Amino acid sequence: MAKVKMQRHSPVLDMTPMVDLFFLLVTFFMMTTTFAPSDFVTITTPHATSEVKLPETNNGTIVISADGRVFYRTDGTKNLRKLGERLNEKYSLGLTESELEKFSRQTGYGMPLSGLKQFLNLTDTQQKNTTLPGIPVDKGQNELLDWIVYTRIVNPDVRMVVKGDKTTNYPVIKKVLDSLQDCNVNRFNLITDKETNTLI
Amino acid sequence: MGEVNTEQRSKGGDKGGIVKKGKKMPTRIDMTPMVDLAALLLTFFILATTFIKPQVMQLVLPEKNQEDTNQPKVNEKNVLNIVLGEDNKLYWYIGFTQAQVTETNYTDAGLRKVLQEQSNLNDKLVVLVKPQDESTYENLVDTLDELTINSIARYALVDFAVEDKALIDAFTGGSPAPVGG
Repeated sequence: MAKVKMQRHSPVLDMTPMVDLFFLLVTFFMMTTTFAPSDFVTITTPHATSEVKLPETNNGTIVISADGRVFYRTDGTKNLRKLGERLNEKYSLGLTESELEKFSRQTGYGMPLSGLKQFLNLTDTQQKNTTLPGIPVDKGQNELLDWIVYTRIVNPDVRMVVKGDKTTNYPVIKKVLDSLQDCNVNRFNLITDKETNTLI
Repeated sequence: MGEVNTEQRSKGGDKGGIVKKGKKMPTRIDMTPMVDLAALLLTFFILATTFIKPQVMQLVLPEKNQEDTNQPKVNEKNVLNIVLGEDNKLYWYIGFTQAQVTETNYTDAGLRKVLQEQSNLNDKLVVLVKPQDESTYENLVDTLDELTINSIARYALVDFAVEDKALIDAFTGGSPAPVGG
């Protein structure tokens, strides 16, 4: 019996399907990715048993740092632009078109409105290195109220979210909750962490 | 790995290097760099995607009533006051007159047991959460969480008033600060 000659296979692999798959996945992830918004400050959220997940869009988040500064952020470039126009009008901030454009691309705000124009004109690195004073929430000069009211005007679907640090003292929390209630927001979400230890 | 095959030359060696077209012209391109790039991008986007959506605790507070006449009246025997104090201290008492202040803590055996017992004893229970200025956000969230765990829906966040301060001071005893009426 004649020996069957083994066919020599070159170690060439057809990678086309793999590449197809890769690009499909890359496209998918590119489309769906929303980058996690930055908080300016590190926040350690308290633990709770709640398992409700926060939807990704239509949030107006009030971030309260451990030292009692208040930041605000919301999503949607178009809404942000409208929000900027409203605030600009009310407080006569004198923002130009390009400054409004910059405003709508910010991930968050943490300064009195009087300092907004100056902040927008800083470069990205300068912005990162600035220590923000926080949004004023005191009675008499409560700018957070306007942020909430105008956000709700430009985006009626917005839900208010409070993200506070564990160690924040109650008076600031109270001011924020009061501001929300003054705007007739009685239903809001507190960002918490999953309880790590087992229950019961 | 796949590559463009350029070894045709050897076949027509005696004809002055003129390439004879073979029947099959392999059209393989080296795809490795492309795969590398695709994998790199893929990894980047997977990592950049926010996988973990934050968890939230939903909180509904009673509407702020402008006029006092609209406030619902509650029998003080049905009112459980929880005072969040400094340094994670916690006090509770029923009613306002002749209130018996008891200290407890945020553990399962503490606040949760109190809430369980009290809600079993009284199904008209209304809980007033009174955070002192020194209490932290964590205290508040812990308390609200315990209320949710015990499915107590009737609760409210109330200011820590002078009367409450008097009760707590009388309980802790050490505070010499005179209680203004």
